[in-house]
Amino acid sequence: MNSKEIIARYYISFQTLVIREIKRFMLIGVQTLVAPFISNILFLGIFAGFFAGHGDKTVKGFDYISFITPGLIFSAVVSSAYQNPVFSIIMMKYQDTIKEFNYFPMKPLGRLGGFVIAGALRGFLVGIMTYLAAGLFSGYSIAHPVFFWLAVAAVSLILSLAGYLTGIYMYSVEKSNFIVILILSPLVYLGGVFFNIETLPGIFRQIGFYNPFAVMISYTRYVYIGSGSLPGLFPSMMTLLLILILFAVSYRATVKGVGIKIK
Amino acid sequence: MIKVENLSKKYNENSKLALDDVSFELQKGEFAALLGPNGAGKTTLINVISGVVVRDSGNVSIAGYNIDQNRVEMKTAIGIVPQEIAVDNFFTVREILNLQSGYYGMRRNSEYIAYIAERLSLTDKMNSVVRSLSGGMKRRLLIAKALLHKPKILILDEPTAGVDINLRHDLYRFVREMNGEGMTILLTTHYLEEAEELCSRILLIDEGRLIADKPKKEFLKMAGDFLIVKLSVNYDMSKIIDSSMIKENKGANKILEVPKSRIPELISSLGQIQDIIDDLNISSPGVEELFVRLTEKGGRN
Repeated sequence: MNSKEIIARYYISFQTLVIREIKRFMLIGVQTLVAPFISNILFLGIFAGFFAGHGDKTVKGFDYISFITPGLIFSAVVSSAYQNPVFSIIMMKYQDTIKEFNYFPMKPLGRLGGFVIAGALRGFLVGIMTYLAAGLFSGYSIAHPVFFWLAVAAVSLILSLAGYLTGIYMYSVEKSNFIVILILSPLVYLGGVFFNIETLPGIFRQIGFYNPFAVMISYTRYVYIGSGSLPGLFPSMMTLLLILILFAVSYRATVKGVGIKIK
Repeated sequence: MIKVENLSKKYNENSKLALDDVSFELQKGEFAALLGPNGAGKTTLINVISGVVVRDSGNVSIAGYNIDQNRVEMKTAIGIVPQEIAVDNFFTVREILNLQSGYYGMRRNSEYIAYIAERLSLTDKMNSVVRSLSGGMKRRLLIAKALLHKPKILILDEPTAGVDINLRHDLYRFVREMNGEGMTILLTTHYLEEAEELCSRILLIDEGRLIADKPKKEFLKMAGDFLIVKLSVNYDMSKIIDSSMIKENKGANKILEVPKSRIPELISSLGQIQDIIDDLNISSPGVEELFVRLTEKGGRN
C-alpha cells in the first residue's frame, strides 16, 4: 500500500464517521432540528408579547428582540453542538460498539474530527433554524453576515469539541447532564444571552467579562447587530487560550484511547 | 500471521494476572481454537490482539506489524467478531455494512457487500433496521462486518454462543470454507466439539497461562492413552471394575475413563451384566475430557 492509498483510506474512514454522525442526527431530525426551531418561536413569541405591553423595548438603543436574537442563536448552537457528540458517544458505549474504533484504520485526529465536525454541523444547522425562527419577529437582517456565520461555525466547533471530551470521559447521559446544568447553562445565561452584561453589579460585571461565553456572545452579537461593545484583548486572548487547551486535551485523550480502550 | 510474545495483563493492582506471559504464533492458513474455562483470559487475549485492552508487557504483531504501529496494513489484515452482540441499532443492515466498509477506507464495496450478505444469508434483511433482527441474524451481521475488508486473519470470540443448532452448523460450514480459501482463523469457544470438529490446532488457556499449544491430534494424545466408555445400566459398577475408572455416575448413566490396556478386562467384566446394559458407547476422548483433565490436574501444577 503506497502512502497516497494510506492517506485516502484514513480520509475515507474519517469521512465515514462524519456521515454516520449526520445520518444519526438526521434520523431523529424532529428532535434535533425541528424542536429548537419550534421552541425558539415560542420563546420569542412570549418575549414579543410581553414587550408589546411595555414602553421601553430597547437595549443600548436596539430593539430587544433584535438584541436577544444573536444570544438565542448562540445558546441554541451551544446546546446542540455540545449534545450531539455526548449522546452519540455515550450511546456507542451503551451498545458496546465504541470499541470498534480500535479495529478500524483510523487516526486519532480522524476520530476526533469525525465526531466534532458532525456535532458542529448540527450546531450550525440549529443556528440557521433559530435564525429563521427569530427572523419572524425581528426581520432577516444581519450586519456582517459572513462574520456572523463564521462566529456561529466557530462556536459550534468549540462546543462540539467540549461535547466530544465529555462523551469520551462519561459513561452516562445523566452524569453528562450535570455539566450542562452546573457549568454550561449558568455560563451561557450569565454571559448575556438575555441582557447587557455591563448592567451587572460590581464584581459580577468584572467576573462576567472573563466568562468565555460572554466573550463569544459579545463577538457574535457585535457582528449580528453591527455595533455595541467588544470584549477587551485580555479576555479575548484568555478565551482563545482556553479553546486551544480544550483542543490539546481532547487530542491527547484521543491518542491515549480514552473512552475506547480498557486499561 | 499473528505473533504473541510474553503477553501479560493485570486489570488492577490487587487482581490476579488476566494474562500471564502468553506466547504463541499462528501461521498463514491455520485454524486454531483457543479454549479455556470462564475467566481463563480468552477474551482478554482477543481484546489485547484487537487493541481494545492495553497490555502491561509483551508484544503482539499482526501480518508483520507491531500493533502499536497502528498501521493501515495491520488493521486491514485482521477481522474481529466480538463475543457480545454489539451493533448500531439505528441503522439498516445495508447502512451498517456500507459504514463498515467506509471505516476501513473502502468507498465502493457494494459488490463484495452483496457477496458476503448472500454467503451469510443476510440478503433478505438488507433493508431491515438492525434492532428488528433476531439474535442469530445479528450474529451473522457481526461476522459479515468482520469480513468486508477481506482480512487475512479472522478472530471469532465465541461466535456461536446462544445460537441455534442450524445457524451453528451454517457458521461451521462458512468458517471452514473461509479457512479453505486460505484465511487464518482463531476461534474461542465454549462448545468444545466445535474446536474438535473445526480446528487443526488447540491452545488451552487457564488462569491467564497458556497451558497447552498443540496440533489437535497431539493434544488429544496429551492426556494419556485412555478411552471413554459411556454406558446406561442400573448397576453399581464398582462391584465389577476399579472404581477409580468411574468418572461420572448419574443414575443409570455412567462415564468411565479406561486405560487402553485395561479394555479387555472391562469387556470381560461387562459380560457379567450384559443382559441389563441398555446402551454402550466406547470412543476416544474428546477435547472436553482432555480439557477437564488438563485444567483440573496438570494445568494448575
